[in-house]
Amino acid sequence: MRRICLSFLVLLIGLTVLTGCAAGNMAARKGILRVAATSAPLTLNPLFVRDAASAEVIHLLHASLLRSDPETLAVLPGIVSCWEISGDGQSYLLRLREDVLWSDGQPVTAEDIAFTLRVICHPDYTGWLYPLVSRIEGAAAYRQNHVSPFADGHLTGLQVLGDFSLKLVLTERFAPFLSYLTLPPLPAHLLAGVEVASLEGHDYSRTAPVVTGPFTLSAWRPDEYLHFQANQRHYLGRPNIAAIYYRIIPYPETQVIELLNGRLDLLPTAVRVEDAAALSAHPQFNIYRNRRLVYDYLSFNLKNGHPALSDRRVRQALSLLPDRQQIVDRLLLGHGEVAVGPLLPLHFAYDPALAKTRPDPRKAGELLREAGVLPLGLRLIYNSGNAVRENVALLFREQAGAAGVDVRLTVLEWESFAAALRKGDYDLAILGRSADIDPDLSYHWHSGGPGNLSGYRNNEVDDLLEAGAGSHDMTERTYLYRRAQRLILRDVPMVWLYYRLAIHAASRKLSNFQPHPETPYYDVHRWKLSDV
Amino acid sequence: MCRAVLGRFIQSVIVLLGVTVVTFLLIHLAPGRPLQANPEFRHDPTAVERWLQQRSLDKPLPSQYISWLSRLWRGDFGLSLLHNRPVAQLVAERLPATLLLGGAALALALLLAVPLGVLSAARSGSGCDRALNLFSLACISVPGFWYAMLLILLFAYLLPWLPAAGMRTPGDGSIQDVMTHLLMPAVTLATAMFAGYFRYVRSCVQDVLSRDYVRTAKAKGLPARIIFIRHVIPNAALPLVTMAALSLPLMFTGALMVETVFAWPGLGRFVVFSALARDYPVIMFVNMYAAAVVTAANLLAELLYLAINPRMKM
Amino acid sequence: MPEGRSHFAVGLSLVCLLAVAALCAPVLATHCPYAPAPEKSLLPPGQEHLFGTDRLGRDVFSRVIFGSRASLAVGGLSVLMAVGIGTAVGATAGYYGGVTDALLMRLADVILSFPSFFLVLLMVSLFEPHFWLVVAVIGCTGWPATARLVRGEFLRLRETDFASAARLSGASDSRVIIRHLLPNALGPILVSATVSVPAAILTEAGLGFLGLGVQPPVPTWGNMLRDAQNYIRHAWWYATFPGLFIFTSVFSFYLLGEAMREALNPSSGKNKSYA
Repeated sequence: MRRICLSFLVLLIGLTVLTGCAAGNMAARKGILRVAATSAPLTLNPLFVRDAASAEVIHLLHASLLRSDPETLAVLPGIVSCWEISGDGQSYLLRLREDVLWSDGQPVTAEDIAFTLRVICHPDYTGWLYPLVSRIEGAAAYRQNHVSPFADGHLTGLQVLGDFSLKLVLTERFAPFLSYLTLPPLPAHLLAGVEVASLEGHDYSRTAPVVTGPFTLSAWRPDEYLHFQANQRHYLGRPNIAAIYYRIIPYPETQVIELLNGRLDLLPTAVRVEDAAALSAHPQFNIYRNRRLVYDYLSFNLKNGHPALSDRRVRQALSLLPDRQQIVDRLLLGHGEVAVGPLLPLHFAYDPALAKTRPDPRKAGELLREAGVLPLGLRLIYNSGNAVRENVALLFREQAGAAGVDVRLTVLEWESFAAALRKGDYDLAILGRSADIDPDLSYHWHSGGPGNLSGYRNNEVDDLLEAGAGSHDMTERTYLYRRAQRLILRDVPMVWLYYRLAIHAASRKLSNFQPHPETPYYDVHRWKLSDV
Repeated sequence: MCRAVLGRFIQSVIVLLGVTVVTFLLIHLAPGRPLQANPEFRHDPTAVERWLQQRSLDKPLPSQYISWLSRLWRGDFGLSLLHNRPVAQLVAERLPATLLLGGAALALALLLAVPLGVLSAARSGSGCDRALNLFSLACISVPGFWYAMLLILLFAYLLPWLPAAGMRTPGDGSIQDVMTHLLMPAVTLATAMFAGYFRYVRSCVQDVLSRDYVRTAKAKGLPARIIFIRHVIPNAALPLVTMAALSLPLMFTGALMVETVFAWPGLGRFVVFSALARDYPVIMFVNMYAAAVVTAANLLAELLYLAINPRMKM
Repeated sequence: MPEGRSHFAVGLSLVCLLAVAALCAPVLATHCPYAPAPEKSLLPPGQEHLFGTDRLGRDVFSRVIFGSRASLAVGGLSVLMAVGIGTAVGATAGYYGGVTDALLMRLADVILSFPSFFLVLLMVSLFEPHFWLVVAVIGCTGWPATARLVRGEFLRLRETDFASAARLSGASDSRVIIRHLLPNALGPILVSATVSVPAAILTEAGLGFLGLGVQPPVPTWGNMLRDAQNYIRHAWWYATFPGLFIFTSVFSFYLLGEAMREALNPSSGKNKSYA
């Protein structure tokens, strides 16, 4: 018996020694960046992105036609080197750089771009980008009448003028259009023979063998990591970083521990506000913060929620309840700003003169009594996994209780949450919304906007937004959008809560890291890893 | 004997058919359709119909069931809604990691349970026996995910010895490297498994110890060590092997919580995330696959018993 | 057996203690378990907050005490349901035998051929999480073990003299089952119920940890751990105390169950496993 115990002990010691050796063996390799991700991408095809992880990876693999400035959001040249807008403001002449190559050595031509746009307009296309190009002349007809299963044929408003130039004609003047062309092209020489209906499930979505971006995919271990290697042919220059390991680690807490232990170099997303202070004080790490084009808000179900919500006074009362400054100070620990409306601080049309709503439970109570809806019981739903939103909901419940509103909370996993939203099975919901780089508000607030789900309608707002989209003059557009925003705020269609900052944590070894509001992987070819 | 085997086999088939019905109904009676969050549907209501049609989700339930069953029979398990790839492929990619973790945990658990179980039985009623008994109870009382969290806190953060996530260091993947990653998840899982084996070993050995031939051997004055090696251990081994065989299916479905907490790239974590995302084809496949493995193992175990002891009634 | 008796005493008193804590939660709690106070976020244990505070500044001690209500209620109610269904099915199958028996037992086989936590996870994830849903799902998936046990007892009991006597004297089937056979099978049923409670508590905790259990703001040990997982480095107390409570309650139920089994069946009591 003793012998068994003894051999067991020896085994245990052996294991410990073994692991000790392995832990000491962790020297970082030169020029290899290890990045954390919360979940694996679902597709590598830029036209079918539906989730945040895929959107991130797309920026590593694909270069886009146009880019935007990380600070001013102004449209910058990308694969398209310059553009001309005609006098009537409706047609765009695009010239491509002639030195952009696919990773297999083929040049990127105007035909690739035409093919990409045709795929998006094809009736069998299963992605969601169509609203971005629906204003190209002939897009609607192509979408309705095209019979071939392939993305061949022509759109009347899309003319390939040569290998490196093409012309796009719109059905109306639409100022934000250029900002919509920040999408990457697909390789026509590889995919033109694939039926559009099966493109989403095509191998390209998983292997992306031919790309234009700074990196190419060299291996993908399911639920472990993706391995990217520098694309020697990238048109902006060969990346300084030789390879990236994109590790999939679902829990943010684990990500931080791996970073602290030197098994990761960069946490591009999912750095929690609670960790930011400690990491920025740490000698080995830098914390980067930047504004993003997103806001979180409290949404009212005006279609089939509690009938009291259709009373503007009730909505106004509810908007007076949350203490936004407390949320920013205590929950976001200062890594955010109080939200005032749909125009974000990054937009050129942002209205700094707009007053922040202060909590006023007394006035809220008065409004509710005036509306005669008390006692009021409302059901608030929110998705799980977002600690800030979960805590906002819990705070809001207490603040509403003080004004006599009984809020029942339901946390739902993402799919159930989306189902509840779709069914209208809620009164209030905490949601996030992302804005475009252009301040145009018509997507969500025009009565015919594709993203106007709540059915918001205000004729005056419609007119202002149409005028704004029809003008290429920034001063005029600023004026129009600010007026539209004030009108929208008067209707209290939702409660704007906060603009959250993105927080990135990186090893000090990483330099030239400059996050963009839409992606941490902006200009990734310029990033450098030093040996320090 | 042949009839008994046949009967048992038919029973298994009936159970599996029942499993398909339960699985199918469960998924289709759940409220809500899959992938509601799909942004495409917000722009274009016809896309929903098209999408359902492409996956033949627009037919009435019985015909969906029949076509699903016939596709199952042909080995076509469908495409994952989330990943747009064959489910069987997705599962196959994750199986090795799960088997590695399950195998390591099983080995670790047996390595501890067998000697300690024998020790406990040999000194039945002693302080050592009682302490081990309490320890085994404690092992099944610890919530695995909590234990895993504490292990991470202790051995990956406070004492940064072990990696907190994953199966290997990217670009490394040597045996040593995998072992380091394996240690914490395997220990967590083995803790839960240990209790069952320990108690089983102890009772088997106790049982053998009370048999006449052991008493005779003792009376003959054979030394205790010889009695154990000659009589006790061989006789207690057989039920243990059966028990281990019966717990094999658990290895194939993975440890849901442990894999999730340690970001182990196995089937358990995949199942959890698929269930949360309502990836119906994946859920259905894993359901069927798990049930099939369990049923097969049960059948095998019973046939084994039958082979060993033909007089046993089924 | 002194060992069994001491296990029984320790298990029973711990279970009683937890039950009292759950029942008297409003008296024992030092703070309101719901009211957030963000300025007191993540305070370590001290005089004011015995177990510290959570991210929203709520008192962890009060939440753990209140959490015992939901956790124990889910455990108790779901086992009640599982044992109820299991007894009914097992009694029917064992008493009537034949085709009824075969059908019911195949149904039990179907349920048993799914890994149990997997099945529960699946069912809960398909519907909107709710206290009663969790109870129902754990109850609906937990019955086959009891059913098999009761069936075995009934197969044995129905051949006994007193059962035949009762039948001969013209008692109806249901009367024979309920009046004569069931009381004789009560012991094993009780033991099976006792050892099922901790499993149900663990399952609830696991679901809560994945965000599928009883919904916030109602605290349960499981959903507290889920919350705490984000702050294990910042606040060790946040994860430690709910976990310890789960451990203690599960442990004491197992202790109690083990002691009961030994008392009921002294020869083979120790020979059962929980795997």
